Amino acid sequence: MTIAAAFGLLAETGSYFGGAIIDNIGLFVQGMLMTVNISFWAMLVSFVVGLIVAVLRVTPSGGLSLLAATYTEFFRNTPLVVQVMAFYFGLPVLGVHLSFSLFGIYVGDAYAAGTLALALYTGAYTAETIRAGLLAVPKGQREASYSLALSTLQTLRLIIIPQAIRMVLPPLANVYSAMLKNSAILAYIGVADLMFQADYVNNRTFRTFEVLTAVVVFYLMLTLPLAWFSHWLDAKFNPLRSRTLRLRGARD
Amino acid sequence: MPAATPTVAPVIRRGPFLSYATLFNTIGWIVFAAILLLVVLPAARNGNWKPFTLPSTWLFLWKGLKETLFVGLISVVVSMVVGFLLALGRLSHIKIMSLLSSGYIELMRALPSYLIIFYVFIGFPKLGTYLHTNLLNLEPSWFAIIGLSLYTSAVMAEIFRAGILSIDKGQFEAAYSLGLEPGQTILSIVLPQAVRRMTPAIVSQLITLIKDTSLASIIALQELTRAGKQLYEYYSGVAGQKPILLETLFVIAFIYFVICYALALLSKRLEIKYH
Repeated sequence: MTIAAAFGLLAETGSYFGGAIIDNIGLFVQGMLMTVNISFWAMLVSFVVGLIVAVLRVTPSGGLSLLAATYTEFFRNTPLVVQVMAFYFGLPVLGVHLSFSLFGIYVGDAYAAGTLALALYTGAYTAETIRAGLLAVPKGQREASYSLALSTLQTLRLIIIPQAIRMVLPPLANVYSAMLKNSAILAYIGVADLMFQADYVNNRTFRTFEVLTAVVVFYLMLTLPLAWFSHWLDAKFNPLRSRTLRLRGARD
Repeated sequence: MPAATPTVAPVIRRGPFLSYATLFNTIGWIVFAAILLLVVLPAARNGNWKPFTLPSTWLFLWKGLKETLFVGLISVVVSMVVGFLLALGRLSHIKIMSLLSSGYIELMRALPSYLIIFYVFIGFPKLGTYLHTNLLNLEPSWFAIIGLSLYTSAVMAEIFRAGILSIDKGQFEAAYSLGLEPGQTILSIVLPQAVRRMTPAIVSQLITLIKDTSLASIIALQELTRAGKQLYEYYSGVAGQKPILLETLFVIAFIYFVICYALALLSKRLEIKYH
């Protein structure tokens, strides 16, 4: 009986294992493209936000750095689910609708709110990572740059940031890989990403384990290359420090 | 005739009247005050905070918070134990064991934790029906604990592995030369030293874990986020009440923030203490 049931697990209701996936492969591919799409825009926004916030936070300006610190700590220490809820359900209460259409492309409320929440959440992590990089550039570099008569902004742009970025790229790749995984949460507000499409197929076919296998494989196809890329960056830029950085990067 | 010592009059160098630093600082405080006065204060004044003066509201949220903390703490204990075993498995010389452990670790770390929790919630009961058993119909909190532990144990395994690898090789050699067995060496020599280095990373992971319990609220777990959702849905159904959606979400976010930020400060302090 149990053995028969185990076979039932492999070939749920009727046809061969994987039938539900092959019938709905289009939906899975659409979902995967949506996940990539969300991740791309969220990455772009969060990098810009993170860079600005990181620079603000290391400036000697009390007010701006307090503002930047408030943003980072608040977004880092509250769950993404609550943030997504606040942006998607909360902003319409205030009369703010994030949906817009640009060049004839309509961007829905859920997509805009979800991507913005994801970008701001990741932006806080990006800011922390970049700040760690900025602070890790030796002080002598700044002094040398000043003694060569470069201005504050020139020092930042020509001396500090290029060095910091090299140090920061591998952990940043980890942050974005975590962001890609976090984007699954947007399925909750109805963004048709991979997670959402998988649930849709599951509800239509009731073949949970096939769907689970498929969605795991599709997510691995997205996240494993990113992880390899991060390792490659690590080995390329920081051959000596790579192990300690990986120890530090354990959080998210 | 001694050479005349040159005397230099002390020059007090003054910066420009308005340096960049002062300028930025002033702008910063103005922006901060403006946000406080124009956004935060009106939001606080116009919000409907009346439900939050009632003890019953806080009692309801407290029940949710208890569930959050329960699930978080049990999961962190479970995943530390499993993670330690996985780390030993990955470091072991038995090929099949290290292959299996690293496969598990890499797989779980590459998947979204929402996906894992979601499919534990819908997969376990379904597996139960296939296997004709009732044992897999657990309480939601246990599903959440299983789902979170599946993911977190993989991360914990990496933390433990890094901690064990960071211990000097001489410690192992000294222990072996004193006649200790490998198991004894790990438990009584290496682990006590490694734990100190790992504690900040473990506390950081606990923060992630507590935030991740909110993922289970989407499905069935009656914890803080879900309690908040029910609270504002209840109030939107009561006639003559203003909606309290944003207020509730803010209160909930603030509760999470207090817990997680305290843990983050603890982690930072431990890091300074041990490094």
